[in-house]
Amino acid sequence: MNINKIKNYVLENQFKIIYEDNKVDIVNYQNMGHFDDNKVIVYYDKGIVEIKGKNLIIKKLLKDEVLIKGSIEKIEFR
Amino acid sequence: MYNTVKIKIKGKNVTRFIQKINKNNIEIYNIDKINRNEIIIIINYNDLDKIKEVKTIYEIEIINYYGINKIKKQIKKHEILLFCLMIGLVLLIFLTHIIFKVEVIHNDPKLRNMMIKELSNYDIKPYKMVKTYEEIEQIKKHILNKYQNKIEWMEIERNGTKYIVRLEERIKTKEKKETENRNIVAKNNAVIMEIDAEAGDIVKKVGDYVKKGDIIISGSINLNEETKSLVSAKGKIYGEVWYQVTTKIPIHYYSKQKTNKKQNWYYLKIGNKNINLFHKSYKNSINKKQILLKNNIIPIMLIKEHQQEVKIKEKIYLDEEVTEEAYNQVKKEITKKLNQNEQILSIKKLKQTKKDSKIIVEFFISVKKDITSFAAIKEDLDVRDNKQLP
Repeated sequence: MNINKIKNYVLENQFKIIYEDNKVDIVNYQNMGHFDDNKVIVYYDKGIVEIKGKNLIIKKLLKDEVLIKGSIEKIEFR
Repeated sequence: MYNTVKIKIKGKNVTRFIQKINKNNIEIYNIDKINRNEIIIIINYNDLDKIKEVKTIYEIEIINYYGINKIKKQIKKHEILLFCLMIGLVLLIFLTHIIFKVEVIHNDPKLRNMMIKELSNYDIKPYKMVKTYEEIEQIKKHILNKYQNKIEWMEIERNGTKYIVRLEERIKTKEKKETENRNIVAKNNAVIMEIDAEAGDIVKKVGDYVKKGDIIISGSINLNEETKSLVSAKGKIYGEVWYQVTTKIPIHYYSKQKTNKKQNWYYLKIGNKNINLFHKSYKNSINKKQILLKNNIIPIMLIKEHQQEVKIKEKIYLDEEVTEEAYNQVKKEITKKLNQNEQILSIKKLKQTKKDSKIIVEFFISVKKDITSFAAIKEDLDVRDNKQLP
């Protein structure tokens, strides 16, 4: 358990979600599920994150990071 | 920004295509959605081929390049202009190294023409390449040696593509005729040490004290207190002369000493900033500056500086060191003024005082010196009468 924590700290491969000023930055996701103007679904190692809102745009889409912009109303973890 | 490319993707439901790109491990650095069917993205240049492979029904249009690719594209786009600029620059540098005019500044047209002809022997003439500083120095040396009787001094100065040669003609002073009747007299107050007479009557002897102007070898040949004839007295007299010399030694001594290191330092002067081109400048040096390129509109200059490295010597003298330093300085200065047969007999310290930041040392110096001087004999009536007699 402790080794996993250290590994996560050193390699920075822990799932993170940061919300700031109508922007959601998701780091270390697994893959993109679905996205349109009102909903974005992102898979991660322990489940799904569903972001709901209006005029949602994926601004950046990297291998380990996704940045979503728009009028965000709800972030749901499932 | 690294090698990236901005592309526009057109097609039905482009978001699906974005998902496809994501599944192919292609990173998208920026996405700008124009409408449902149009999107602008920034990707790695290397991923462009992958996108073209998976594009299917979507249209892809390259909008812009960033990074080295952008520079490459710009160079390719303006290659003719850049080529012309390069050629122009090379041509400009080449032309600035060509002599277009040689001007000799002197009043005498003969000397001017002679110099132009002489300089052309060393390839300093129109439409030839300019010379380096070392070459110019060598040429000057050769010409001055060759015409040492005609030219006193010369300077070859480069002003852009023109050489300006300044000359100083050697003016010969007519040698005084040694045939006139004269006495040899003392140049200074002295005690005679040596008399070497070739012609005339010696009237003083070794050890005699003479005052300035006293006759030592007379040109009047007397017999029974009567002047029989007049001759031009010839000879050399050495005597002991004395000087009182005062020298000032600064307590804080500062001097520059030349080393053997020389270099040509090229640099660009942009405003007040200097940019080294090849070497760095010496820390301390004596410099001779030459402007190679100058622009009157933009404050950029290409400057060549001939540098002679110098060592800065700084010292604070102790009181006891001052006497020795002053003694050496005085000895050196006096020795410089003496010729081969002259010598310093003694140097004695008289007084040492301190004033402001200087130490004043007074010496009494005794020197063996050539005291030969000549004075024409004024013929009086009696002598003339005698001469007229057979």
